[in-house]
Amino acid sequence: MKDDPIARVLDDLLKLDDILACMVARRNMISVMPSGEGFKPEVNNIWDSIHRAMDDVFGVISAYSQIGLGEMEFRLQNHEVLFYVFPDTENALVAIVPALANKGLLEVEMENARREILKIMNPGEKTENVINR
Amino acid sequence: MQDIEQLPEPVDEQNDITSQTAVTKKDAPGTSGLEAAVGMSRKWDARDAGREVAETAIRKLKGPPSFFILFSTIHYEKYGGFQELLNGVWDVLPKDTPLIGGTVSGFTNNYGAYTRGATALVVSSSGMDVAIGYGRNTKRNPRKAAHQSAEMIKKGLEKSEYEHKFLLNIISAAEMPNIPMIGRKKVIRSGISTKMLLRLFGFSQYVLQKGTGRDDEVVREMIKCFPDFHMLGGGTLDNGEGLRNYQFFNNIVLKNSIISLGIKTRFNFDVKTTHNMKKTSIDFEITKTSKDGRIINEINGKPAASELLRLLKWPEIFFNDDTWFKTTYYFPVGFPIENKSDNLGPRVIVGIFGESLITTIGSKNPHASMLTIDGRNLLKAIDNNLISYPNTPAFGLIASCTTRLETLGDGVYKVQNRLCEYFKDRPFLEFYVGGESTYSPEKGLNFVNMSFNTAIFW
Repeated sequence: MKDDPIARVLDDLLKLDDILACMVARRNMISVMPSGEGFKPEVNNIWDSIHRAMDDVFGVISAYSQIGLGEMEFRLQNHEVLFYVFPDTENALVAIVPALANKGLLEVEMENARREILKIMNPGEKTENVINR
Repeated sequence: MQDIEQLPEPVDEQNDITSQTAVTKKDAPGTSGLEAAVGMSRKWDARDAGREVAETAIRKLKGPPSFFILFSTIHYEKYGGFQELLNGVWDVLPKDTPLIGGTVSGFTNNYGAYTRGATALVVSSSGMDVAIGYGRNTKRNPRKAAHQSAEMIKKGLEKSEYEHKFLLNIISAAEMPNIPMIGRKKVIRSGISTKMLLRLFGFSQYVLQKGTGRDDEVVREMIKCFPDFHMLGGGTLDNGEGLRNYQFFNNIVLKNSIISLGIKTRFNFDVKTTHNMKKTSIDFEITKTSKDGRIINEINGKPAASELLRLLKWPEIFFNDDTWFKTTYYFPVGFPIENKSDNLGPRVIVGIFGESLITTIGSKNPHASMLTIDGRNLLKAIDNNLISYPNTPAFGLIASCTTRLETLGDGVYKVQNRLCEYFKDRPFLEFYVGGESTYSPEKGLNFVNMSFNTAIFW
């Protein structure tokens, strides 16, 4: 896991104070997690509920990503879950943040992480082309 | 993004996704003898990031750097500290290069948009003279701080014979007041009288230097010192918390200071402010303010906060410490810029103490209207701004309000795309600040919130 370049991108995201958890996932499956200690402890109490809700959201993502669904989010209690979909796939970069976090600033780094992961997944292709198509 | 060139191995192998690239402009027509480049680092360690941002910026220059402008996000406070960031820069940057900068909430450049990392714009030219200056205690005595900085700039440029004059002012922006017995809050509606709150706020402002930036006062004083200069300015920030911010002057890290870069040159440039805010039908009279016009005590002859709620038809719950910025960013108060009633500029209400509304810009003009904006118009402010410039810029510096970044979120890549379309392979650096401004002898001062401010050289 430690040598996985996608895990390293997630490690960077998780270093941001307000990113409590992040992963690359699809319905019923977390594909890549950060390589370090995993999620921050604030998430532990609510993780089971969030995980269940995430799977429902992934149903929507798999139905609509082919026609351009790019982002989704939901709020559950005091947390928000952000989904940055990898175009034309059923996979998304997912982050759990506090409901009152400065989401605008976090979104920029979520987008950068998505672009980095896309570069890793599609090494020959220009990221902008993948995002914008 | 165009023609990105890969650099050799990074300084060391670290868990980062650094953009190891540099963009350099080729001489534009009429700008022979002017080189500029943008550098950046996404490394976490402050020293490594300092080295890399300097290395990626200067390695493409043929001549020695004339000045180096450095911006970083607040994260390095926890990963080595800003002194180490500067130490890293000076591991690489030639001695005696004038360096100024500070902390920002984010930045865009030729590589992308970021809310974590460090970036720099470096210029090398035989056709300009450069001086830098600083003044301390801007929140306590903005006039004195401005004069300290102005004296250094005047002395540094006194022998220059170049005709075109430019000044970049980087000033410590507002920090959340630290009110005795109450602490740090944006909204305090009850439990203590407004009069007492404002007294305690004054203590925080003048003794602790925690309060409004008073950067508009600093800029007005700089204009008195340099009325024939063109100016671009912005206030340093953290990541939206409003708790602390830092300024950089050569190898020194400062707080509550103004840092200035003065340039006299043979090259052309201009400055411009656009915000594209739309006026709503909610007009009112500000009938009582503090002496400096920064605190609004009464609207339409009534206590200000309650009257604002009535005018906006908002419930009291909107005055909420947790969500206030998200609310006010979409509904700033419009005030006549330079007393021109047809030119309303936005100013954000950063605090509500009892019945008083705290803003970051002083205005004694009684006429006011609520303004509003949406994402499309935030982007249109860029088009409206750049349309007035020549098609072949040499490089650009852009002070953009952090509220634009915080409301656009990842939509800020649409901003970066527009800037890339305009600048092409020419270096640009947009830094997200609080309390941004431009000034020119022809257009006067535009000091507003939520705006897009350019200084473009050609």
